[in-house]
Amino acid sequence: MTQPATSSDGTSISRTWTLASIGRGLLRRSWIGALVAAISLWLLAGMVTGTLSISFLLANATIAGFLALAGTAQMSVIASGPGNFDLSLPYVVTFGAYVMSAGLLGQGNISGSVALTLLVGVAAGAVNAALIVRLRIPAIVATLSTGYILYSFIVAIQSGGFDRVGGLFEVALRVRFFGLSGVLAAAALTLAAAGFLLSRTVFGVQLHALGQNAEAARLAGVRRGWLLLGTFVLSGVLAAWLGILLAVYQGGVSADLGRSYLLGSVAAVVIGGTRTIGGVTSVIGTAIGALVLTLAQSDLILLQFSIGAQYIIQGSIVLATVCLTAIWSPDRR
Amino acid sequence: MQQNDRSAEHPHGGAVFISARNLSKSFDTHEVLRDVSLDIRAGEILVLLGPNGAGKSTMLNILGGTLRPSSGGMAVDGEPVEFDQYISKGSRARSIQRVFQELSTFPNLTVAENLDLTAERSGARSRREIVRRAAERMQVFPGNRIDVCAEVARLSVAERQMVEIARAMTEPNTRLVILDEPTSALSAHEADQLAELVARKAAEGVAIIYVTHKLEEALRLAHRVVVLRDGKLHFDGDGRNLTHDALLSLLGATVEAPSAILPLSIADASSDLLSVQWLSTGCLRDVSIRVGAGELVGIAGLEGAGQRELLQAIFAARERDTGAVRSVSDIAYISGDRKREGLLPLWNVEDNVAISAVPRFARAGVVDFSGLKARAHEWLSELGLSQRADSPIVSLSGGNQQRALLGRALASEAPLLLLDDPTRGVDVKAKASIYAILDKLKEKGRGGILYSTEVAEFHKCDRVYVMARGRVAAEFDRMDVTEERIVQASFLRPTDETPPSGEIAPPAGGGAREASLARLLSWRSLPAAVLMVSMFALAFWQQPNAFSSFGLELLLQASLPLAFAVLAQMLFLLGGDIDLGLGFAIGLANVLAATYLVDAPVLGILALAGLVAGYVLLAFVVELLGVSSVVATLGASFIWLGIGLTIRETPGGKSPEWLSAAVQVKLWPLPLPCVALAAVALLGFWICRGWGYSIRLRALGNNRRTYVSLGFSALAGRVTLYALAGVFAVLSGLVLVAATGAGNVHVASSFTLATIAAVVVGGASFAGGLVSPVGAVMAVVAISLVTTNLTFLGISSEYSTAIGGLILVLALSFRSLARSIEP
Amino acid sequence: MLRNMVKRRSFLAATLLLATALAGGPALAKEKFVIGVATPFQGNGWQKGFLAAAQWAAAELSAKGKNVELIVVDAAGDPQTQIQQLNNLTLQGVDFIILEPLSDTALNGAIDNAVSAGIPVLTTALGSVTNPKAISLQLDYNELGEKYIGYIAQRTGGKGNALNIRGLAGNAAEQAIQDAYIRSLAKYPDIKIVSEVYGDWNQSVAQQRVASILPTLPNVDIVLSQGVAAFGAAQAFLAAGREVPLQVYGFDGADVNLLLELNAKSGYESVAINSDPGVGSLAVNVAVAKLSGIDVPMKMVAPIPQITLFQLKTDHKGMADSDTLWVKYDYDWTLKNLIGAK
Repeated sequence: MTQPATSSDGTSISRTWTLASIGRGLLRRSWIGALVAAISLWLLAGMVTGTLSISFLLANATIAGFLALAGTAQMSVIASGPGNFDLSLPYVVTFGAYVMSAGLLGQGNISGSVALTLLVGVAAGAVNAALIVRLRIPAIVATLSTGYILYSFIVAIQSGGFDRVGGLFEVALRVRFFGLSGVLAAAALTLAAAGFLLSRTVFGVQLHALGQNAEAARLAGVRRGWLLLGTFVLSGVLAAWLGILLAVYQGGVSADLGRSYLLGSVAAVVIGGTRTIGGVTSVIGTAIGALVLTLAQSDLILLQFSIGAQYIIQGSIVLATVCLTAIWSPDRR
Repeated sequence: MQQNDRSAEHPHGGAVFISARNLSKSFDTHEVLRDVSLDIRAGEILVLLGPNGAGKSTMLNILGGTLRPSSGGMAVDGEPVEFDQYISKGSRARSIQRVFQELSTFPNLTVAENLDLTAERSGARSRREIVRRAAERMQVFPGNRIDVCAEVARLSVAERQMVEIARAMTEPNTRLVILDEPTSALSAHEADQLAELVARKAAEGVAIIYVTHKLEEALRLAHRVVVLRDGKLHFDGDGRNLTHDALLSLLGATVEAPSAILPLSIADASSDLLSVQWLSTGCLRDVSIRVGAGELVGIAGLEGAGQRELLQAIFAARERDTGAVRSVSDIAYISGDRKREGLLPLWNVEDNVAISAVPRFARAGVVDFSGLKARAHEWLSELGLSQRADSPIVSLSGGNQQRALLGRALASEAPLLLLDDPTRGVDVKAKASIYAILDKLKEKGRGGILYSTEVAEFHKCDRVYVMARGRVAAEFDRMDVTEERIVQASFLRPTDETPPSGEIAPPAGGGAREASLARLLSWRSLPAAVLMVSMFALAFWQQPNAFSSFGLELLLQASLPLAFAVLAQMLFLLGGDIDLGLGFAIGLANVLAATYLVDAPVLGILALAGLVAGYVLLAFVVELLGVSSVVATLGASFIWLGIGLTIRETPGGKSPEWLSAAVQVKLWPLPLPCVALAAVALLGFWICRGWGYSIRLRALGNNRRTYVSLGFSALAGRVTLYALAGVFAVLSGLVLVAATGAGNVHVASSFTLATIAAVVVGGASFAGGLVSPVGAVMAVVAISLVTTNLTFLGISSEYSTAIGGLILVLALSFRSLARSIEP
Repeated sequence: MLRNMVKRRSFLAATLLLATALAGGPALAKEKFVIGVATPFQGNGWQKGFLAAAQWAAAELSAKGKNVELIVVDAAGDPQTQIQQLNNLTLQGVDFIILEPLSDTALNGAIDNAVSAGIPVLTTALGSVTNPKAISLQLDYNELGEKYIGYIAQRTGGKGNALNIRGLAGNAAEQAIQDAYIRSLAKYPDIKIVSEVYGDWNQSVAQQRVASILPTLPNVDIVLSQGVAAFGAAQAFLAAGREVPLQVYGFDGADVNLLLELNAKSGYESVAINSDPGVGSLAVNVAVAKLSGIDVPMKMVAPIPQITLFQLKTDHKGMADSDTLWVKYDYDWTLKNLIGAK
């Protein structure tokens, strides 16, 4: 069976990997455009500064790693069906960061805090799924209301104070190895795990079926309710994990920590070449999409574009990618 | 048997309206219509009969101008028809009305609006006029109890059918009415009314084509009877001297006494894969069937007799013992409606087959792809599809797609297969191979239930249950199954039939109060209204001086810009879309107005028009490219923000004096914000209800496909919606300029999500076409009053967002609750 | 003077009790002032400090016989909510409104309502509004710029490459601070701004944007920032394995602790200069003065404190990351130095 994660590319794992076929396969990948864009942006930065710097790329990759986590969370939800989005994501990120920093289980208890934070992500996802499946509320409104409720939790928890997350955990995330930071490695490992979950497990395969055609999937024995629960819990856990990483990486939290991840997560998915019609995921694409967004931001700062122009260009990138993806895809409306 | 008496005298028939010659039609290699010639005469009632799959629908589609024939020609009023032109013309221009079996009314519109939607346009009509005309048109069913102001969604199936019939029958300048099973849900009384109506219309010179499975109807109405069998014209002759038996034999049934309905033997149920006892749900009545291991059981009957519902009920009950249905744990379902219920269109053939086997090829949730792949190849080669394993499923022919879906059922290794018309639209060769697969399955001890629209297929079955009107009308053993018997039993009329819902006796006393209560409960804006009223009451109680002109002004002032914004968002939801860039679009309008309107008014107006043009552009992107509106508006939001920051990096500018003066107007006793909010709500109401185009916009939002098939332009509709939304975004920006005296691109950034919440609390549905502008404005006021009351009560404002979220959840749960207690 | 005024929040309770016990006499006429405080969003340390300062001042005044009650409302970052809350306070008939405006413009109408209902409105802290009817108590950005750039110039000898981290694009206060920096920098032409990023007044955004362009900036001697970005910028440099360049720190516990930590590790030296949450106490004092019939100017500027490393080490070791430093200004100080100083 083809790995569903790359199903949009129509490749099969049994193909003999000759060089030519690798080339052909690569060209058919949905994220190839994004990859080209990322490389061009890196070269552009090199031209502007006069040196082609690997550490510039790695620094941007670290930032992009955060965005890729948010993007992957959003992507799983988008894949579960047309019109599904998770608007609670930025609030879960922020709340997760606070729970991590608040030291509710005692100041030194790092593993306890991590577990508690991830549990918060599970709970947020479960509430979302319950609203959608049980009360039949559309995903976009259900997650919006969950987000509103979480916001109040954030306000409540932050008055309790917080402190830096220390210990081995901090050391591990901040360690640097030839410019490769621990936090980037952590993000990459998480992405790999998410990719595995989406492409190699029963859950992932059935999620892709559900997103393509919910009725056909139901008749093929897929249980919609449980799958949606899994999807939103996955999104919640990834968001909470992102909150943990941000809290440690930054050594502090603020109430608007997650703010930029709502638009950013959708943009990363779209720029990664993944169509938002449901049933398609590509962790690699989303990661590259996140890298493109981050590099574009850095380039625009290096080129000393005004902040207004920066936003205009970013918006144009999103719109242009989504239009081109739609034009090239065979099944237009 | 064929009796060509086209040249004979037709006492009822006037001039020939349409004459079709040698029409043939094939799909792929499957010929569904062969060389049929037919004349349709003015004033003649032509009853078209034929078993399932005889080609009736194809014939009607060609005559009605929705399908082009493979060969043959047609003439209208003696003029030869150019099919391209004929199809593009739209049904109204062809003077042909058709009542579909599948209902084509828009459930979100009222009866009157549905009737008006397709009516001849002669300028805008007032609401009252629309209602009056609708009531008039509904009089084709004298004494009917249909409220023309009620939404079609609230009508029973029978009532919906009556609306459709009334629409077709009363359309002016109609020359041909095609009625496809018009009485399937009607009561005897309404069917009588329809019969009279049909006779009257014919007397007026309108040609009628009447398709029915009810032979008594055919006998009563027909001037002429046409029978199609296997795509060929089998009989075409005078219908007035035919008998019931003659019709049956024309349809291919032998005339014999109806066999008794065999009682079900439940004794040996233990070895059964499935037993259903006295199942009654939806349209099913006391259905009892059983399937043993290695048995293929047929479910025959006319289309719509409850077969599909039975299969769905059995599938839904798997892994559960619901009492009426006892089955093995695993059941596979194969649907003939491949596009809607079968295909996973993004995947290749192999993946489509393997999906059902994934859980079996997994250890601890991780799929063993190589094992799965190996097995998938076995199944594919068994099906003869191994060459196509890597092809996208959508590139296959219908027959091969169906074989792949059968492969999916094999892969699941479920002992029981539900086959829902699996050979629909596949050619003879594919059919044969599907039968061969079924035979193999039986040998392996797996069982199946086959529902088919083609009677011939039941020869394969060990036992056949014939369903009629939701009941099992007959049961035949393998030995007794003949096509004739099945056809005959299909036309049986169960003796103890309860009348359909259309004829339920009016409720006893107190009904009026209950009805108005039910109406109140079903009012979509009820949560918003209740919330607003109670919040007002609480505010006045807490702070009595709020109950004054000045007090009201202070309470409501902040809601005004949001109210305009809410209308913009509502227009998006009306079309089934969402605007995630609204906040920054309003911010941009605010900046443009504050920057240019004073110093360069022309430039300012042009710039604001440019923003509206941006929205029109978005409409093109969404409609023509099929891009999700969420993503498109998200991208646009960056651009709005960027332009806003480029024009004005820090807040500033000024408000034109006329604008500031306008919001400073002091009114009494109701202050300006009060009046303005009411005006905004009414304006929204007018856009959604009162305007000439509004009915169409709501129809578009509800069902784009049906809308387009009626010959309307979806692009024009969406452009209208987006442009109007843009205008309201601009208005909201202007109100903000007037209120704040400056431009600031961030000023409305919280509006995006707040408007979505308010529109939804106000009663909008994401299904599209269902919004309530009055409710949305009430929700805006209510939500802002929640904040007010928190202040008055001295509760920490930390909780206001949480309360907002809870209100959203409560309003929506209230609605799904209200929906579930409705009949 | 500063050393006495700068107090940790944890000392507050004790001093407060003491003050209540000692200064019990009815020095001023006994009346009740209800003051509405409209905060923009809770949860950052600065806002907590502001509120604590306001409450401290109210308690101080109450102890002196002026019965001051604060009604605090919070807009959760939404200007529309703030408009609504301002109108509500007007309806409730408070005597005075202290407003931290979320928008420079959006609140003008609501301020008009309050003023025409006879309720004075004082805008402070977060920014000003373009409505001239509001009393304006602003932080002295010119002083901020001079102290800030002055300290940096003194340490670097007036030259070096600077990375400039700005705040939230499109905000008036942001622009004012920026303009003040640029004005002060004019005196030191050898300090060159080599790159400029927007940190959106968000620690996380600041850190990420700095981190992503840092490899292209091999020589950064100075970081200029506005408040919260200093910590984020330092983290970005540390994460890249580089020395933290000279920069001025804010009053957040995170900033202070980081500075102390860097100093302990490598002798790194700097100061904390920031807009002061203690302006909350000034605002309450001004309100009471106005309500007591004292003529209050329409425009006032609050001082910018500078806290040296020595003061931090001695007074503020071991404060929590989430706490914030603020300066206590009492009523008499306010009358003399703020209201009197026209």
